[in-house]
Amino acid sequence: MTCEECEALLIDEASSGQPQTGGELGEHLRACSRCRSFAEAALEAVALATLSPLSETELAQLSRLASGTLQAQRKNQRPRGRARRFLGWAVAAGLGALVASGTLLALRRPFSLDGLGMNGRSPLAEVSAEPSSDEQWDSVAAEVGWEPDSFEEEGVAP
Amino acid sequence: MTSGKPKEAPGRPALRLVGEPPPRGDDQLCRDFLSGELQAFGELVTRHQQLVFRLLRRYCQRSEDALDLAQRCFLQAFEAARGTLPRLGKEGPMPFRQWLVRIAVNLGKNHARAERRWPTAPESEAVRLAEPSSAPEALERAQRQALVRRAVLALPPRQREVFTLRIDGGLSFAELAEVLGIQQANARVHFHHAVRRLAEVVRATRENAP
Repeated sequence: MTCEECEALLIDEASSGQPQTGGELGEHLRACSRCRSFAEAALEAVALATLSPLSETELAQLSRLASGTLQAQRKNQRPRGRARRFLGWAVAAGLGALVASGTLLALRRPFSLDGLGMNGRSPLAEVSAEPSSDEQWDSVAAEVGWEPDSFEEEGVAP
Repeated sequence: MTSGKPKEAPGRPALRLVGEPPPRGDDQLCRDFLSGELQAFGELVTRHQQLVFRLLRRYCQRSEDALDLAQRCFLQAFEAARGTLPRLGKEGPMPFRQWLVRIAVNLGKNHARAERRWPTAPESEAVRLAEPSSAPEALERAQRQALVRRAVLALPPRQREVFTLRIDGGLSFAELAEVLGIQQANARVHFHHAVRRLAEVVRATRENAP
């Protein structure tokens, strides 16, 4: 066994909780003072770094962890549920108000097309309200004293 | 002479009577809780509470702090499960234990950072343990213990994570490599470097001892 192999095995052993340095490893350690020194330091380092087992107090505290965490979970969920419900109500109320105000406005004001620039009349009505060219001519002819029919007979008739 | 798990490895199979239904896995418990079964919540917490607590204790001055962090750790893991469940579907694997370990390590680091100093809990514990005998050897050992535990927290981040997951959490190299997202051989190398550094600290204390 080389020193590198010995070191690798030692470190694996150190992490196993109950290191065993027998067999081939033990033989190498007895023969190699450098590895023996490293083994002592490594095993002691891991032992010193390892925290002590859980105390009775800590175990008692842990036994209440599940119920405490469940309570905290419920507490976290409650405000979120409340906020979600409040948001739902707010949206519903807003939509209701919008629909109601639209309906009220429509009931209060008579139907009008002012906004469309039609002055409450249909385009057809507007066209028919204008005097026709014949009517215009008749009125002009009446003013100047012409006989409308005679003019027509003279100039236009075949 | 193997590199098996430490003797106090969590998740050791419990004795099961004939005819008893097999215990539900973390996946199933998590899904059952999220669908409203409160008993599943308690079972999950009880199953992993010691692992989470042992990991967090390294970073905390008081056990009460570690307990608070453990609670936050479970709550965050459940939130993660709730968020991930729709994507995983009914059958997808849910690595709940891995999430817990990852969250616990991050919470511990953040807690220690927020405290603006590495905790001295191991030191105070060591001194307290040494008090009754008050023998010089015991005191000296307590001081060495405090020094080594500070050295653990001063290790490079990856080495520290691997070391604490192995020693405090009792995770196998395969398991901790999966949690950290690294190769198993890489995890082993980090652990070896960590132990070598700590061994140097021990040697130095021996040389400086009167």
